[in-house]
Amino acid sequence: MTLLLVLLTVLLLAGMPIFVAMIGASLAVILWEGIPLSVVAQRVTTGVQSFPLLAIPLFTLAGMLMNESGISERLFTFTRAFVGHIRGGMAQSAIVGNIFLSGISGSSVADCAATTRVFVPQLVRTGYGQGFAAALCASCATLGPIIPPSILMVIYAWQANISLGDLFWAGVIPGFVMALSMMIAVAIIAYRRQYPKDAAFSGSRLWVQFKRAFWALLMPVLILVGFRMGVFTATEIAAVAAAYSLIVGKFIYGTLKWSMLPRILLVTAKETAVILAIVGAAAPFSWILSIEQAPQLITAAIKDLTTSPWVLLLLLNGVLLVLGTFMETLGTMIILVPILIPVLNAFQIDLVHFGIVLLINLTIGQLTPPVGVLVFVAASISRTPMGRLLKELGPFLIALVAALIVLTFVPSLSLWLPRLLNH
Amino acid sequence: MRGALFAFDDGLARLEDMFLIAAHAVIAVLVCLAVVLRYVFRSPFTWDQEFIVGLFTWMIFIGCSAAIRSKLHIRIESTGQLYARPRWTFMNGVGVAAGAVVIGVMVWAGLSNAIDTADTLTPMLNVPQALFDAALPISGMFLLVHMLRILLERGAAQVFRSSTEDVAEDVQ
Repeated sequence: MTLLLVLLTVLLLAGMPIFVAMIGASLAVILWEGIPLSVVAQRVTTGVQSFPLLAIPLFTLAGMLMNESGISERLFTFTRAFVGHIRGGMAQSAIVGNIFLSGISGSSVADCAATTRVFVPQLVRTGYGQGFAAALCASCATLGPIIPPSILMVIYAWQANISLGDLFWAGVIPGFVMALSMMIAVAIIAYRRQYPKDAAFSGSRLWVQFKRAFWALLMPVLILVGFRMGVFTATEIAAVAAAYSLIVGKFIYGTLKWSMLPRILLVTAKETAVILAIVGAAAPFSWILSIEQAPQLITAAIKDLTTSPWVLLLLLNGVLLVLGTFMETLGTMIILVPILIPVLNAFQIDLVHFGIVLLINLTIGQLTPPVGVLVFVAASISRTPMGRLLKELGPFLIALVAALIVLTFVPSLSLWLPRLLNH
Repeated sequence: MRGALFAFDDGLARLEDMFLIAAHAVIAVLVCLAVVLRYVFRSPFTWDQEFIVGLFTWMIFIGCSAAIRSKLHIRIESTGQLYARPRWTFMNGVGVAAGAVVIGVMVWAGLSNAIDTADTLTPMLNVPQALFDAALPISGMFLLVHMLRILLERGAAQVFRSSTEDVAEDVQ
């Protein structure tokens, strides 16, 4: 196990892509143990030959079709009609808009790009600071992997062998808790800086904007209802979501053109391939860890340290937050989950609850340099100097960490909905 | 020689892109069709899952090769910043050389695996399992060609560089 982990670290530090480093470490250990190398190839190939994993390209396709149909503008206009009248309302509408956008796209980077493009120019024009506007858009996008559908949830459910439907439902309340914590932060800042508010609330304006955004808003509902029915598989629901997005974009909104389809299919195929190459590379890696009884050794070591599940969760939060600052979300998850699952089972921690805690930790990591992808995207699109953005990020990070602590130590916030629906 | 390699790589890139578009479209249509046949007409295909998973396997590995041209692969991005410093630039070459060795060994291991499974037939389609298993070594060879092209054209630092690093550099 030590050799495998040391090699992985060395190869990652050599600047290789994660999937190459994982395969390299596995090949070296297999060679060292005198096992035929073809075992690694066989494990990598069978690791991706899984029907449930097909949900990933199809959900990605559904999200991209919706994004290319220009739904973000409709959603944000709707949410501005909803909360724009309160102080700092435009900033609040970015957060509320991201709740809905997350329920459609499943990609935090795409959400961040869409929010930044729409909101930063408008926020700056109406008197908000540019650093604040960019920090807000980066922070809002952390809702993407928590509110279903979420690609990271598909992978975690597959790795932990739990129901994807349960995990999707478990993400709903935590998503709202995170959004609420950011809204409180914005409310305090808006009050102190006297940020502007829109005209008074109008029910008729809200209704008009709701009708414009209705078909986009319906998609997350269809996905969650599909899971609730318990008849369809995740892959089938993802396929229906992709077909629905195509119909809405092409025939209802009329913004999607047939000529856009090849590019959309190509981009989603490549993005999916990158994710699933890591999933495939993790198969021989996890296999070696299991034959070397690594999970059992780690469980025993942790039990020497503590026997309390709460202390373990606190420790894991600390480790994951630190790892998230310099490791990429997906890679961290794929490497850690096979090691952690037996530990979590030994401590009787609910895997659905932990899945939500893990994802929140890792998405907060997307906000912190040196690997803060959301910060880079927001700064790049809005042309905001990094220093100005980072200076405004503090309140959002505090709000998100506070939400993380609440969601870690109150499991019923994650588990109440799936349990209710299962009974 | 260099021109021939670049022309070959361009052709390969076009083939990969066409394959990825077609494979993803076929997978999406077949899964939708399977849903309709299963739940509306109560008459599902018997072969669809095996065919879709086989095509999916090819899509992933070919996509993995194509993604290097689009700088989509994921690595620890701070290594790129570190190895941009004059004293550390040699590490870019070390990383690419080690990566090429890993992928080369993987191609060899993948070919051995495909040869081993050439006589094993899949349960529904009754085709050799090697048809699916060959995706890994073949796409690995394509990946090596792309890596060589990027190395010759733009240098070692660019081979595994991700688009996120470009964005980060742009911002800073």
